[in-house]
Amino acid sequence: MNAMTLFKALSHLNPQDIADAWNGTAPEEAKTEPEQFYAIPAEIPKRNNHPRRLLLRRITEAAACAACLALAVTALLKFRALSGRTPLNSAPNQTAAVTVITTERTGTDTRKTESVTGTADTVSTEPGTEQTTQDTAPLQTKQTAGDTSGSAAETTGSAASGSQTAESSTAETTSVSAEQAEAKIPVMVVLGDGAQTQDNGAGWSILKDKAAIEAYLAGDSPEVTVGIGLKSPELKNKILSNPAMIRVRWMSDDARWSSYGITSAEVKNGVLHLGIAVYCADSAGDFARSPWVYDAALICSADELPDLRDVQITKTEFTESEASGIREWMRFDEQLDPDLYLTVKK
Amino acid sequence: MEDAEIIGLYFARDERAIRETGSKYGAALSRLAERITGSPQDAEECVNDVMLSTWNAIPPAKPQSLFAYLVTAVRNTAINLAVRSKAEKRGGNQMRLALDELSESLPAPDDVETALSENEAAERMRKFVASLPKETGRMFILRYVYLLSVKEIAEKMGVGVSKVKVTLHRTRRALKDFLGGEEL
Repeated sequence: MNAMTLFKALSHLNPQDIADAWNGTAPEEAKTEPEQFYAIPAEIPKRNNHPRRLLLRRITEAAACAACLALAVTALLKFRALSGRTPLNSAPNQTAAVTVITTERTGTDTRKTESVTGTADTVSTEPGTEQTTQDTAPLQTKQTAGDTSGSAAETTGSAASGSQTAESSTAETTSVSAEQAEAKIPVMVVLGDGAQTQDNGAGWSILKDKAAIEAYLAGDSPEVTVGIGLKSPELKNKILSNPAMIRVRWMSDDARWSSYGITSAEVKNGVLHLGIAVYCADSAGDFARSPWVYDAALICSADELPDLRDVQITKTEFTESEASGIREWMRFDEQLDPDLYLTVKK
Repeated sequence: MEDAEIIGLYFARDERAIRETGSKYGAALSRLAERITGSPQDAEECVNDVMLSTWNAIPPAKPQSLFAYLVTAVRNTAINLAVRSKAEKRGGNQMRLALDELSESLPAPDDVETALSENEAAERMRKFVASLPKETGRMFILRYVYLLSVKEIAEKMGVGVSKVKVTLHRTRRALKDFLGGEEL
């Protein structure tokens, strides 16, 4: 068989399919679905208004209300607990090191910085309570405006101090010890699923500003594509075992959710590049085995987006990702959003 | 005019049938033919041939979808014309691209499928397209039947170009698996 045979064979597809493809009948079908769904029955059955029936109905309604209230309170408490930086991941052997932070820039150049650090099995709600063991980065650190504790510094051990255009604070910078400093690394989030390479420019997306990420997570970004499960077992396992997850809306016609895990990270010229690969759970069983997926979804619903937790940056991880081809998705020449960065407690 | 009415004119042997067909579908058919042949003149010739053959075929033929019928006829006519006129280059740009892309989906040359006939290939393609999700199938048909460019498909379907590229790439790969894995 040759390509021409295939090409000719396409003339013999189902004529209805050919016509539908041109006319695009799918939206019309979707349009009619709610009508079928909410069709009002021709005849509404009458209620039994016997006093005993009425009393029973009232009792049932009251019980249902009480149950709903209890559920709402439980959900609220859980959400507040999550917002209070309770670690989401319960994997006991994760050695988390770094936390991604988002900040808001105000008109007065004051930045609100929120940080969360901690190992997977440690509760930590205060910045700085968990020390990282990072030694990979030529980090550029800078004190946020309005902070009274003093200063920021170039971190030690960097081969080259990467100048980052994102940093434009008016705060003065002076050297302090690395332990006291809060390093801020501009973040580039690279999304992809391993199915494509950079050659054809497809299969990956770069989200470089906060608005784009928010739009992406809200499912409003049609340019972003996600995978359809063409993952090697190794990659799938790597994604599932990674504690840092964000969750995005599946852009396909079934509108299900898929999950992204960070599979690679590298600091280059002061910029952290995260490779994120998708794993789309293909059955309810996968979700059952990965309850943290739901937790991550709650975080993405909150205001602090993106909240990528417990990213561990190691050379080993990068090497692995390079082997899997994820590095191909990375670009190093994009302008980054100054309001999106990662903090590292040294 | 509705397709059923146009077909009714064919059955009544009313020459307005050709005029109505041309005014409703002529432009789309010409574009399709031009994508395959790469020449406006050849495209016009194809469409005229198809108009004549349709006039001769209906009746007795009574297509369920007049447009699909015409697309198939134009496509076949244009492919034959493109293959015949090898003088400069085979077919239009979109056809060459489509052939290149489809060649990715071919099983290995020494595969048992090599000798697959056109009829068998058609049957398999029908099965394959039927197995695709609706949106994916639509993209596939728009690309390889109508030969729309990726950008045109994206605009027509209201999705991003990258999504179309990725979907088509995966569909071609799935087609390769399908053609290689399906038993005769």
